[in-house]
Amino acid sequence: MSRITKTIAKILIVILPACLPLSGCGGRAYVVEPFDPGSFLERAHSETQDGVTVQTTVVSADETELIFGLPLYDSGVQPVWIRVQNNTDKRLRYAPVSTDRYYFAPLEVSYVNRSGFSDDARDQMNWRFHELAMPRRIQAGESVEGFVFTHMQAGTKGFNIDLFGDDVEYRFNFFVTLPGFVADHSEIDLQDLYAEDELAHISEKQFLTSFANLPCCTSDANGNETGSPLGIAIIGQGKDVLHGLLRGRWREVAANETFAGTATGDYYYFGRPQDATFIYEGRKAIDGYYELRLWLAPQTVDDKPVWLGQLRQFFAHRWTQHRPDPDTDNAQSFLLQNIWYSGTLLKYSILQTSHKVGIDDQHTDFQNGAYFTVGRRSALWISGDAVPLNKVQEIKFSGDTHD
Amino acid sequence: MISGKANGWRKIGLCLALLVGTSGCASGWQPMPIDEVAFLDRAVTHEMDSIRVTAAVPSARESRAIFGADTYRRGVQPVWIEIENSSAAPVAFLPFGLDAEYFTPLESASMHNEKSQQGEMERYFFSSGVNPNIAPGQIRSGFVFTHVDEGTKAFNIDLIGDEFTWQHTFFIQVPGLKVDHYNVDFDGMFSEDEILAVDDQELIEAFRSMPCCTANAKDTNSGDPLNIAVIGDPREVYYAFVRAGWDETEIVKASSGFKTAISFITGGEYRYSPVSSLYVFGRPQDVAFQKARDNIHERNHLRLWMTNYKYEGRTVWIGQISRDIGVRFTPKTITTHKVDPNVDETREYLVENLAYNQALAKFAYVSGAVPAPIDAPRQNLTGDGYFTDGLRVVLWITAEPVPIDEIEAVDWPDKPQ
Repeated sequence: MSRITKTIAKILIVILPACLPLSGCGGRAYVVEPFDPGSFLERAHSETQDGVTVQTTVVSADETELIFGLPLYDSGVQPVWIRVQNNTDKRLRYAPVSTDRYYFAPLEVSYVNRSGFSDDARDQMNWRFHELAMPRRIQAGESVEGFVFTHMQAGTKGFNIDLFGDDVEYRFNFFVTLPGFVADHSEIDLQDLYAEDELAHISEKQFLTSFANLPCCTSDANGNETGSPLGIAIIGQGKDVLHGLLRGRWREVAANETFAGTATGDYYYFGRPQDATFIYEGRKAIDGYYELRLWLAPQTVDDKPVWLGQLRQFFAHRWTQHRPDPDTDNAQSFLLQNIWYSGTLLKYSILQTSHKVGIDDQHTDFQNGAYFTVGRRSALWISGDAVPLNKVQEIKFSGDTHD
Repeated sequence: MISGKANGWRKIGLCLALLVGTSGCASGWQPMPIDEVAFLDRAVTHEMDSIRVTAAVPSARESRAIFGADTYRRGVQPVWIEIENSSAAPVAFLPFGLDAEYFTPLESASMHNEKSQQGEMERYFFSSGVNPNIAPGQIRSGFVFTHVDEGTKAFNIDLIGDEFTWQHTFFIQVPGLKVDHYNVDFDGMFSEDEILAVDDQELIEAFRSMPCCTANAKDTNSGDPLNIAVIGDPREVYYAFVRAGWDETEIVKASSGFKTAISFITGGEYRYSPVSSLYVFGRPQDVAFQKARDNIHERNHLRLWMTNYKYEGRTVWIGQISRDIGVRFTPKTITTHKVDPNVDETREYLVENLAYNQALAKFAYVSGAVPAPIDAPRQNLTGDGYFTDGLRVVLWITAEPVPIDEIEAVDWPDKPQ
C-alpha cells in the first residue's frame, strides 16, 4: 500500500464512523403518539374579534418532546400552538412573521434534527412537522390549527397573531407564561406590599417634584454603601408595565435564576431588594445586556402605581467578564426609546437632579460598578393600548430640586 | 439559530477569532481628525420642514483611521450624522430608529485592547457620539455606533419634537464590497424595440408562458422553480429589498471565496456570500439578494432576472426564492446547502417580509411553475427535492411605504388553495 493510499484509508476510517449517523443508513425509528391538543387546551388563551376566535398556547419542553419526539427546546425551538375559528364570510391569511419575525420553517426543524434516524424515520418526521404546521389560509367558516416554530423565550412569551383578509385585518396579542415558570416578582405580594394609609395618592406634578428629589442611588443591604443611580420611574398598572417590557423584548428573571447580573447580588431601596428584575438580551454582535431592577413605590399617580428603577447596561469585557457601562444616561435613553418604539409609551418626562458625576470623576458603587451621569432621571408612563410613535407626549418639568 | 453540529465549529472559530483579536499590537493609539478622512465626500443630505440631516458612513479603512481602531472587525460601524434645526422648536434624534441595538460609545471603545490609553480612547469615543437634543437654530453632529452593513446601508433617521416627527430612510453605499448587480447595465439590457408594454391579461399570459424553472449554463437540466415575479424599476426593487433586510451579494473573487469558506466551516455569518449562478433566458441572474438568519447555512436566497416586459411603465422581473436549512453531502461538490423542499412556504414568507416592511403595494398569483405534490417531488440542479402548487407570486414593489392594511390582493384567476 502506497503512503497516499494508507493516508486515504486512515482518513476514511476516521470520517466514515462520523458520517454514518448523518447518512440515514440504519438509525433509529421515529416514534410519536397521535397528536391530541386536549392535554393543553384547557390552559389555552382565547380571544374573539368580530367573528374570529383565536386560541393559543406555548407548549412546554416536555409536551414538545411528546408531540414531536424531539427535544426541540434544547436546540432553541419553541412551538406555539394556534387554532383559528373563522366565522366571517372572508378567507383569511395568517402571517407567521407576526408571531416570530425569524420563525423556523417546519421542515427546517425536522431537517436539523434528522441525525441518528433511519431514512424511513426521517420521512415520517418530515411528514409529522408538515402535517402539524399551522396553515396560512383559513377559509370562511373554517377552523384550522397547528404549530408555528418560534425562537425560545423563557418565562412569559409575548407574541402576535395577525390575520388578513379582503379589506379586513385582525391583530391578536397574547402573553403566555410557560408552565412551571415562576418570575422573581411572583414571589412578592405586590398587592399588599403597602397598607392603604402608607400610600400617597398624588398628582403628576407632585410626583415629578418628589421623583426629582429622591435619594440618588440604591444601596447595599445595610444601607451603608451606595449603589447605582436610581434613574427610572415607570408609571402604569403592573400588567401594563409587564406587557410593555415584554413587547420591548425584555424578559423576566426567574425566582431561582442565577444570571450573570443577578449573581452579583441584590441592590436595595426602601430597605428591601428589588421587587422585579428584567433583562434585555436582544443584542447580536456581542454578549451584552441591560438589567432593570424595579421597586414598587408607596405612591400612585392618577391611580396608577409607580415603579422606581435602577438600570445598567453591561457589555462583554475581556473574555468572560461583564463590565457595566459607566454612562448610565445612555442606558436611560435606551429604555425610553425601547418602550417608545414598542408602541406602549404614553408620555415621558426628563428631570434634572443635583446628582451630577463627571466622566473624569466617576463614582464606584458597592458592587464595584463605576458610573457617571449628568444627573438625569426619566419618568415613563406606560399604556395598555398601542401608542403611535408620533402621539407620545413629553411633560416639561421645571420644578425645584433640593440640592 | 437552531443549535446543531455547526455550533461546535462555530465556537472553535469564535475562539480562534478571539485569540487573533486579543493578541494585541501595542503600536500606540492614533486617531485621525474626521476632516482628514475623505468619507464625508459621500455624505447624503435630506431636507424638509426646516430640518436638514446629512449622513455618511465611513468604510472599514476610514473607520480605522478615524478611531484608531478596527471597529468593523468588532462588528461596529460608525454612522456620522449632522442635524441642522432651523425650526422654531427643539427636536430630538432617536438613534433607536437607526439601529435598535446600537452600541454605546464606551461599549464600542471597550472592545479594543489599548491598555495604556484605554481611558483616553473611551473619552474620544464618548466625545465623538452625537448629542441627540438639537435646540432651535442649532447644528449638531457626531457618530452613532451601529452594527456593520456592507454594500448598501439602509437606515432611518427619526427626529421628534412637540407634536412633530421627521422620518427619512437613507441608503448609503459603503465602499469595500464588490456587489454583483453594480456591473449590470439595466438601462441597456433591452433595446427600445425589444420592450413589450403589456396590460393585465397580457401580463398574466406572459408569466404563464415564461420558463418554469431555472436551468444550468448549458440549459440541459432544469432546477429550482421560478416562483416569484416582481414589478418595479431597478432602483425601487433594490431599495425595497434592502429596506426589508435583504443583503446584496458579493461577486466571486478570492477574498469573498475565503470569507465564504470560513463561514462554511465555522457556521459564521457572512451576509454577502456569493451565490451560484442559475440561468434563465440563457443568462445568470441579474441580481441576487440573501437574508441570513443566524449563519451561512440558514438563509434565504432570491435571484431576479429582468424581462423585456413593462407593466404600466415599470419593469417586470421573474425570479426564484429558496430557503437554505442546512448542509448535506453530494458526490459532485462534496457539500452543498440543503434547500427547504416546501418552496411555497419560502415564497409566502417573502410576501409577508415585504408587507411588514411596507415595501409591497399589491400582490397576485399566477401559474407558470410545474406543480409537484409532496409525494411526487421534483428536483433542483443539486438534487434537492421540492414540492409546490406551481404558482408564482407577483409582487408590486413600492418605493413609498404602504401600510400593511392598504396592500391590495389583486384578483387574478389563479389562486393558492
